[in-house]
Amino acid sequence: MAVRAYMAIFRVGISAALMYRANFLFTAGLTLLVGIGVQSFLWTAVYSGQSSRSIAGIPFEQMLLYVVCATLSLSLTRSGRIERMVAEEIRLGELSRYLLKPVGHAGYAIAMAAAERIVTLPVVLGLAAVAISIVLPVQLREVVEMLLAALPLLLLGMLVNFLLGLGISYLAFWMDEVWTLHVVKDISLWFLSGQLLPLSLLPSAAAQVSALLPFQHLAYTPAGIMAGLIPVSALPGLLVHALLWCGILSCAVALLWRAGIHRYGAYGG
Amino acid sequence: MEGNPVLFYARLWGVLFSQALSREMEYRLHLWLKFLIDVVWYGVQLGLFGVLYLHVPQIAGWSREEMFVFLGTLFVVDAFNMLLFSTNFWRIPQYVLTGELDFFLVKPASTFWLVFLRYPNVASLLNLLVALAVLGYALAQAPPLRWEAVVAYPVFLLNGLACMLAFQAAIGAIAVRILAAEGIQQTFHILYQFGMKPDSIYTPLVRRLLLYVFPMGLVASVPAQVLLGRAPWELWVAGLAIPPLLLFASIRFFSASLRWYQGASA
Repeated sequence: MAVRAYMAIFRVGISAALMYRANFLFTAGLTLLVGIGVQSFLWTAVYSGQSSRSIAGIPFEQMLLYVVCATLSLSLTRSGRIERMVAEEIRLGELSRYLLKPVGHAGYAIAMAAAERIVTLPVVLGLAAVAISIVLPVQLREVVEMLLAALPLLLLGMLVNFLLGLGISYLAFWMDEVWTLHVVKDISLWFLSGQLLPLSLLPSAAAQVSALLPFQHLAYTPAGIMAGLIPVSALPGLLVHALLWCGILSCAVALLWRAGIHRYGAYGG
Repeated sequence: MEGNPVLFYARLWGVLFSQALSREMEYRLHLWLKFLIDVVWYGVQLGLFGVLYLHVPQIAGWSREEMFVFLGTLFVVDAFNMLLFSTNFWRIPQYVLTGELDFFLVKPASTFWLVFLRYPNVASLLNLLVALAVLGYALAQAPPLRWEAVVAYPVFLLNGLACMLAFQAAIGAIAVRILAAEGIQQTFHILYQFGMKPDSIYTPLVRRLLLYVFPMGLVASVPAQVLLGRAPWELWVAGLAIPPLLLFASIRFFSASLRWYQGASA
């Protein structure tokens, strides 16, 4: 019964996500194009002053591929319209609707968020496949293997960002406005996720700290696998790390919900 | 309006700022969080270039010290934009959809001025202080400056700000015309990404586009080059001449767009 309910929510979520496809194509498409373009110009300028055409052991072409894949990965894992709406629902008292339904709120939110992201997943994987084929001297079969290797990290990256976003939105039980925290998180992720530069370029102490944190799974690890910066043999360890963080964040979000729902009050019709 | 218009608008902005400050004081945590947003953005930009300069001595002819002067300039112009115009720019579709623009049209002051300056962003005043501190720190590390560059720099900063207002006014004018305009407003921030890097990282064609057609290069890159004494004469001419012309054209375009506005029933 519960599974059927969540599947129905998922289908509704896909319909809702497709309603915004024109908006996605215009803003997200243009944002991606300009973001990748500006980053490519920057890295071209960075490498053009180097006689060796290699920085920290990364050749220019591989760095460009990483930039493309990292921007695509973060655009996929970071989208979070559903989680942000939760804060507004708490603030306006609309959360009461979910309390009366035979589904859990977190389950409802995750089904809607999964639907929102699943629509863009094929687009991102397709663009990444084209970029890999152009830059690396690999066969189509190898491209598919690289994408399949990165896919579980992308899915876990989506889950990490979803849990971070939902946790921030649940702070709306105590705070009037939490949109600023969402914006702070999104801006921080440009750097912390490795979208702007591979985290392996950080000074060693900072790189060690970032390797402990969950943000790397939003861009650095999936893009690193796709661009060949991270060997596929490292995948099992990265998956365990990402799963561990999903577990920690799930517990934190559940605790926030339990504490917050006791404070929640909505009045009137 | 009677008397000196500059004094009138300065007094009016003072009153509006005072009202905004009163509103923000009701939610002080929110004020600090809004301040935090741009501080984090500054941190990300400084962090990116800080790490890059660990691996290379120069980027497109800019040393680390010069790049930080560029970033300080970018932060100062951005903080002024956030303080004065940005909040208002994002409200334009709401003004049009709800008919709130009616109230601006009937007030005894410039409609353009009211639309773009009605709501100052108090938190950005704190960001401006941080931006000035970053610029001051960068200048302390940079080579000595020439006096004519120091004198010209505020004018180029003002013109960089004028460029940002001109872009927002042009997009605001389109927003008045097409009603559901959230997507079109995003184009400003998308184009602004080009202005967040020095113009010399781009290819010659893109660079010319960013200096003369969509002059995002005039926002921070040209002012920083003028201050560092590395701007050739054509950048001086472009940086002085284009922003006022662009702003004039955008104000005319915005005023013309108001003819399409149909009030609350739109």
